[in-house]
Amino acid sequence: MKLLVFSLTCYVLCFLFYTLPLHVLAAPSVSPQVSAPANVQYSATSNCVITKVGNPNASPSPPQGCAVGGSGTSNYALTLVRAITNDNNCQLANGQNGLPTFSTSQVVTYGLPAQDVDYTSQYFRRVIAGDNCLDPIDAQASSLGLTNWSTIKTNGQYLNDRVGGFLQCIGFANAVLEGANGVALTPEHDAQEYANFTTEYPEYIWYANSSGNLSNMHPGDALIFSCDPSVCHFGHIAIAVKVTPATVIVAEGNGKGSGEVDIFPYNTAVNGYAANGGLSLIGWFHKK
Amino acid sequence: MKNKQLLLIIGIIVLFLLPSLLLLLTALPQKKPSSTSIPVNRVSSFPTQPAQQSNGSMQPSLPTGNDNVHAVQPPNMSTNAPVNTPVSITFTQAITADNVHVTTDPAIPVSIHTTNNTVTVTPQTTLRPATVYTFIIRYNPNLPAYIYAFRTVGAQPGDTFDFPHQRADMNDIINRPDLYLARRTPYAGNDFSVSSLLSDTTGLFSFTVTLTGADRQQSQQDFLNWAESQGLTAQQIQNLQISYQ
Repeated sequence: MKLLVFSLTCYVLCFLFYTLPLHVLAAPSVSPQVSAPANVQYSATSNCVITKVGNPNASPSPPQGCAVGGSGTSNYALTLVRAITNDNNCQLANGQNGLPTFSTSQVVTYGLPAQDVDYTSQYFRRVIAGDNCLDPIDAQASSLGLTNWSTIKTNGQYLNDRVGGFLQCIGFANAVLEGANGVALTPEHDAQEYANFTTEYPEYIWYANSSGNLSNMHPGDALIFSCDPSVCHFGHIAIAVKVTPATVIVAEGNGKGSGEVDIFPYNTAVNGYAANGGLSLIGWFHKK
Repeated sequence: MKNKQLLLIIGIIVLFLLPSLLLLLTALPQKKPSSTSIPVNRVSSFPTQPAQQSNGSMQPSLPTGNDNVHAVQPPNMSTNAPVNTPVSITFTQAITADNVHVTTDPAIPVSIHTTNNTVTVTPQTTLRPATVYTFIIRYNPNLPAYIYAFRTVGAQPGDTFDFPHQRADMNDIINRPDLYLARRTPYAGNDFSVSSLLSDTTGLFSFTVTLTGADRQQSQQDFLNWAESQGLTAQQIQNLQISYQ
């Protein structure tokens, strides 16, 4: 009888082993590499971003406490984008057929309040190493609030960090991080490789993208995008300037492919590596 | 007697528990390069011609980005396309010529030729060097368009670029048509203009269309035609939050 009971017990145990989802048993519970941010400067619902891209003097002026060019990595990113897109020395994205009607009346309104957000992909300026297109910004860098300008531009460390080529996404992102935070994500990697070296940057916290982590994304964070590594070799990095539950708007370099600087909206959905080679947000760095 | 019972118990354990343990061990996950996402690769049909990068190194065949597209030439998302190349898209099934519409960014004049399951798009001008060209190819009115892009030769060897805008569009034309269309606004046609608004609470875009033509119905139709020309289906557009004024 005892033997029968024991045999039945074994059989039930085996049945459970076979029928339980194996990945539940086998996959260790890996917590994302996150911790609470120390000094959150912005929240997703009250980020302090109102500006005009393309014309720094256009109305509406920033509301109280939201001085463009003031403190904050996202403001710094927007100031840099504005300075470049407003720089007539930098090439138009479409070359000779670029933006003949580009004028101060065609500025891109951007930021809070949400109902005033407009966005266009038409307003780009190319930054190409060696074309001196950033030179006119030198004189006004200080007044624009572009701190550490000599580091991010004059010696070519970030804004021209690929000699002879287009401004790279990491060059723009690190220029913003260096300028605003005094600490760039160095040593540099191809953008998507940053997700594999998240512990190299003690000044930053890494958040893997998940529905539970989205509340930890803030303007000023450095976002890492990737797609299936079998087809993507470099990925993308950009600076968040506005965060909503399903969409993040970024300031970025080379998103369009010829060294352009722009403002662009991306999906925050957790797609993993999309099967069709599509781009996904895989995580972000937040300054401690 | 006790020995027999013991052997019987051991036999039961071997018979039932050991296979379970083996199955468990084989199901343990392999080490992944990234700690965040699981790559899924269900692409089976690649262009047979490997693409050569601008720095001279060979890169693996690239996916077409659409299950209905068998192959494209030059390869999708390649970085060294000739400046005088026709674009060839081979679909997995025959395509009706009347259903084929092509929009390019930057806008260039093209001629379109459709034969069976192949669409050939020939630019009527020489392309600019080191420039990304995106083709939005509509081939079935009931499906989102095929997003296809390449960069022409001329970029410097140190340049690294993965078509983030185009790859984002590849996902969003299917999953986030609001975001996809918002990227193409504001836009002004002959008898309408459209702007997009981002909601702080939902994170989704809504659209305001201002009808400026004398015939409002025609203006509205022209807007809908424009939205379809951007690659969205009528059903996708119908599901967007659009207000007319």
